[in-house]
Amino acid sequence: MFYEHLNREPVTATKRRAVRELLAENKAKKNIITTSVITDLEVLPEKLAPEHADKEAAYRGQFDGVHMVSVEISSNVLMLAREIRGRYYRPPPEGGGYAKMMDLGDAIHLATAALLGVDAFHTRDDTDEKTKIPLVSLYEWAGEDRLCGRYDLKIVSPESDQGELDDIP
Amino acid sequence: MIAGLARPPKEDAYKRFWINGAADPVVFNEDFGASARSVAARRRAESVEPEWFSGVSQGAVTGELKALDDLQGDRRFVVVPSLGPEQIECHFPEHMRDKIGAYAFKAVRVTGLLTYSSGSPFPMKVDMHDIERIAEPAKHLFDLEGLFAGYAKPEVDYTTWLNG
Repeated sequence: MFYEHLNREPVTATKRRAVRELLAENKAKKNIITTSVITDLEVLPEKLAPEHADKEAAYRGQFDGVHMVSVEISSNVLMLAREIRGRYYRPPPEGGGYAKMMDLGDAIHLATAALLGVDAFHTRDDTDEKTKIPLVSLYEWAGEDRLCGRYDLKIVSPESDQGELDDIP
Repeated sequence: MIAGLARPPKEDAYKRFWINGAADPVVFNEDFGASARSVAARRRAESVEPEWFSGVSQGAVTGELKALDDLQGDRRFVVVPSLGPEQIECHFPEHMRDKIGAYAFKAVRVTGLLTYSSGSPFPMKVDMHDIERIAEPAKHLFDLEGLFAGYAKPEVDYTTWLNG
């Protein structure tokens, strides 16, 4: 979600509006946005031009620890991330195909959110191609309704009822 | 008992069952046994409270600094995070005695030795090394849409992490 916003990814108008609404609420201190520190790896360009150093500072300055919180990786986050990967691993089907293993980054994000007990986990990731495990439809895919059978974590792809006016061609 | 287990099953013992609406029977074979054991193990794991990391780790906690107290000479305060535990007990070093008051009721990041116990995934105590105030951003993320537009998506390869 951070990448989508900061890179202005081409998404539908309803998705863009949903992100803007969440951020507008955050700006007004009406919600708390939290993310794993690994978001830095997923968002910051690998080679940022020297004249754009202020952009990295602007991104890092977002995390005020109160309404926008970057969460460090602890032993317990890794412990739960391992459990999540083991839980949703699927061996390759008989007759060929791909084994399914959750991406470690996804597992760390889910573990972080589950431990903190957030209201909702926001992601666009929902592909089950090759080795991938979908996130938005994880529970449906796995045939369960709680993360690891223990954590009430709502996983959603935020989408608004209507789009943004500036996205209408 | 061993002899009983070794005996072949009786002819009239249950070998399969049908579920209403399903044409194929569920057969009591090796695969069924493995699946049943797997489901049972999952249920057991879900019903037991996880045992978290117990020990000490270098790290940081963030939140609002409250309940500054040195009545017992233990140089104590708590950090109240936005999410997670209700509060985290912290102890500041002697040389911070005159300065720590400036951080009261402010958003802070406290770095130091974090003590964990097996009953909670969050640190129960911090022996502070350093403390800093966290300022509000000059420009909110809402206003930074497209900040990195034009840059390629970073390629992050997590696949080898945790794989030994």
